[in-house]
Amino acid sequence: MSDKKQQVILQTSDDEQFTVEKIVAERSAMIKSMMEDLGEQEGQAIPLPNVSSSVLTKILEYCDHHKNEPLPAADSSDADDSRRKTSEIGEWDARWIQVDQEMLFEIILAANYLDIKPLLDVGCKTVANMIKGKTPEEIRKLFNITNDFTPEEEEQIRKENEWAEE
Amino acid sequence: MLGIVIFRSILHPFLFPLIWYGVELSFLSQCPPCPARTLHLPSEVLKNISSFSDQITLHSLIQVSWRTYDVSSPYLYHRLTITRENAKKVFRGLARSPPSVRTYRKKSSVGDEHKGREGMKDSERDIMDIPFGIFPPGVTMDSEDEDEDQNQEGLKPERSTTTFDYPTRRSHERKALLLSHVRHLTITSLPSKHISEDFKAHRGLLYDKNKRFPFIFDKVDTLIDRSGGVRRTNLAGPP
Repeated sequence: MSDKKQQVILQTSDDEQFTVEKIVAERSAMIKSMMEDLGEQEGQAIPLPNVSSSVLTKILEYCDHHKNEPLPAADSSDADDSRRKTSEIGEWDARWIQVDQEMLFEIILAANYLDIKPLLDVGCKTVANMIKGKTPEEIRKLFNITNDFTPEEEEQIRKENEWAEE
Repeated sequence: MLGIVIFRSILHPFLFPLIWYGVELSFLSQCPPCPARTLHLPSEVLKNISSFSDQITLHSLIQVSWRTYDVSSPYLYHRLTITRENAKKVFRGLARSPPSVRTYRKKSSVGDEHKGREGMKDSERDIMDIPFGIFPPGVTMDSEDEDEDQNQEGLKPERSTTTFDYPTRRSHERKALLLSHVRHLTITSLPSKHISEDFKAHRGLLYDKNKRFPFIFDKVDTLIDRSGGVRRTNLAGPP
């Protein structure tokens, strides 16, 4: 009975159910607060309508590996903090995040939704390394972003920030 | 899924052989040819990516789209070093004082002085796109020589230029906003006299009571002055 208490059921967008150790699921601040809200309602699945089973499988691997690490303090990221940080990734994380680009973006979106800050950082560092030194056009292609500058604006913005090229 | 069921029942005789030959029907549930998936990275994620990017990459990021411009520019401008050499580029876009505006005009004015770009009358043009000049404190129009059109005063936007409509009020506000992101400012050598004068004027301009413009350098936390030319001053205070 006490063993059961340590588990939680997660239900993905494709209606798969995952029974997960509580300590693993708690890496997600979102799931953690949902569990607190649900309280003692045992056996009730937590719906994750934005996460597919393939992505959740991958993410649970990460959460399981890091389950014994201290959770990051809530609200540790200042909204106005525009400091630049190092993009180094731990050895295990670097190996774990070696996935195709689609999966990488899925992981990032899921980490953002599930509010798993260290995982979001790993994903974003990986993307930051991918776009390092790339031209605006290459980044547009990678992110599938439309250029919404007029040619005049594009030229002005390039020149107004030209100092950064040095 | 429902769509597939209907699809299957309508075309059943046609599809049946496919099933019969063991061909998976699941590919039909995808839309051939699938359009490229539009990836929408939330701003929070783009911010996070920016925080791990270096200066060169941030410079690329802000040129991708308006959204990445807005999200990434605070990171690009968080730390700024001004030197005599880069000052002109750093302040590019900000309103200039009359001499340089006039030089611009001299080079560019052709034909009808009262028409703007594409034959538009100035009154019809967006005020944001009208060339924009400033007057440093102590410089009045009377002290300027060879001034043929006397319609300038104070903050009145420049008129009667053609293709070189720059800097504009729009570019000024854009650059002022960028410079308001600076938290750590290092001055290694003093910019040229002209740029310094302009800068002094901007500060006068920016601390006007009406607060018409974003503040330049108003959120600087640390100022390191290695130029030796100026006293350490609190940039966040009034001039």
